[in-house]
This record gives sequence, structure tokens and C-alpha cells, in this order.
Amino acid sequence: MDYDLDEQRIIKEIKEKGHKRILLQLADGIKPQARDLVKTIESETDAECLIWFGSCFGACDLPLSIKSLGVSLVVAFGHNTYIKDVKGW
Amino acid sequence: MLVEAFYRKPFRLSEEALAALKPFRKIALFGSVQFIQLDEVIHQLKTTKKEILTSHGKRTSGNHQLLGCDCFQDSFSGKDIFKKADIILYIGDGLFHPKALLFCQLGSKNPKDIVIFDPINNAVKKITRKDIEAQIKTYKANLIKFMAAEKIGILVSTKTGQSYLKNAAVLQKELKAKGKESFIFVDDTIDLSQMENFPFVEAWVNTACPRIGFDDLVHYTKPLININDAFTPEKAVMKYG
Repeated sequence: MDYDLDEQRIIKEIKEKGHKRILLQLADGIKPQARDLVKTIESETDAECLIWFGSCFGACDLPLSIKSLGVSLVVAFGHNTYIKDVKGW
Repeated sequence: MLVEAFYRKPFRLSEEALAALKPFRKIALFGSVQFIQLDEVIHQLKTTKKEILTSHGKRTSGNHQLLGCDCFQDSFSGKDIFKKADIILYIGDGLFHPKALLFCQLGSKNPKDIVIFDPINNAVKKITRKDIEAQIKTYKANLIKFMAAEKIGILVSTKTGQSYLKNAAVLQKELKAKGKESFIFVDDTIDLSQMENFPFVEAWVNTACPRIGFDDLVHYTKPLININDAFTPEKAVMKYG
């Protein structure tokens, strides 16, 4: 894999906060890595991983409407902090 | 939790990339988030006596970083960076991000070309204003059709970073004052093919990602414009040359 997916940081966060169900959201080019990520995270933690099937256009596009699924952590791959201007573009 | 997914293979500008930059001295440098660890590239450019112009996109978290929505003249902190630059260098793969650098120069009489260096494929490509001419032509025609339209559809996304319902409501009020009828449509991912299902709408306004208003227009017959142009479409027609 040519990109650093920082698995150990994710695993540390899951263990520290005791997350039981997490959601992985991947930018298109990284989506093929979903299987390996799930295997790594689920083998090293007690968390169950769900994979976001839909779009991942940027940090403007975080799937935050999934609380009903019991997800306590969303991990978005391929983006950093996005600063929204609430007044408009 | 955000994971940047930085590209972890070391990379340098190829001989082909350096040759493409050779005639130019002042270089505005950009990259997508995966490629903003640019120390080696900056060192290479400085070694060849280039002056590097740095910017900070107003929606981004790092210097040199470019987002697809950085497509306006005021998208960057570095004032007049494009006026000062002789050429723009973009590091990354694909065309979506670097095309933003063409859109944000639309008001300029002397837009700078963009050399793209793709470290994954070690490939070099150059793009110029000609590469967005079809979109701009369609967009200008859409502005004129929007001005004539009586029934307007306003698209609002529920995506947290793209959701501007308040702005849509302000526009709706303005349109009402002009005697026009308007409707607000809501979805998560804005799928423009849905426009066909609402044939009573004569023109559409996008409030979600500004690139929706530019990139895909050529594939649709119904006119669509971006919200920032919907308040003063007459001025916008001039802006797009």
C-alpha cells in the first residue's frame, strides 16, 4: 500500500475509548484497502467495522447521520480538517 | 477521526517535470492532501533557482494544500498568488483538483497554466484555460437561461460541510421579490439526473459543492448555476468573459 493509513493510531483510539462499532469511510482510491483495514482493526480490537458504501468527496462529506446504527466513531481516510465558512462559499 | 493517508513513497520531480518548469522562475506550488509533504520538491526547485509562492486555501489545514472547492478568486490566503506566478505546479494524481486552479482564475486576463506532476505514475501533464472552455461556455448560457426562467429549483445537500439551507432560503426570498416561483430540493449526494423528474423547473441553482455547478454541466440540458452567481447573474455573465 502506497498510502499511510495510520492503523495503529486508529487501534489506539478504539482501545482507549472502548468503541464497539466503528464506520470506515474511504476516499475512492483507498476503497480497495477496506478489506485489509477491517481485518487489521477487528483482529486487534473488539470493535466491529462497518464500511461506508457511498460518496467520500472530502471532509465536507462526513456521514454523521449514522447514529442510529450504534456507530460511535467514524474514521474518514484521505482528508484532513475542513474549515467551513458557515456564511456561504 | 481524520486520516490524511499521506503518500509514503519518497518522490522527486522527474527530469520531464523540471524541463516543463525550466522557462519559468516564480512557481505557485499546490498539492492534494496526500502529497503536501513537499520538502524534497521544494529543495529541488530552490536548487534550480526557482522562487516558490506559497498559499493557504481558506478551507484547508495546510500550506500548499488544494481542495476541489478552491475554485474562486478568493479561495486562497496568498493574495495575488496567481498574478505573481509565472506558472503553477500541482503535485498529485487526477484532474479534479488542478482544474480548480483554472476555475479560480476565470476573472484573470492572463491566466497561468498548470503543470501537473503525478508522483504515482511519474507522469507530467499541462492544462490550460482551454481545458475548461466547454464548461464555461455552457455555464454562461445557463446564466442567461436562469435570468429568463420563472420557475427555479434550489438544490440543498444534507452533507455537513456542504449544507447551506439558510442561503437557499435567502435566495428564495429574493426570487419571490422578483416575481419568480422557486422550490427547495434536498438530498444527500446531489444526483443531477434527478432534474429530469421535475420538468416544471426551468432552471436550477446549486448550493452544495461549487464544482457540481461547473464540471458536469455539459451532460445536462436543464440549466444549472451556482448560488453565488444566482444573486447577481448579470454581473456573473461578465465575470465569465
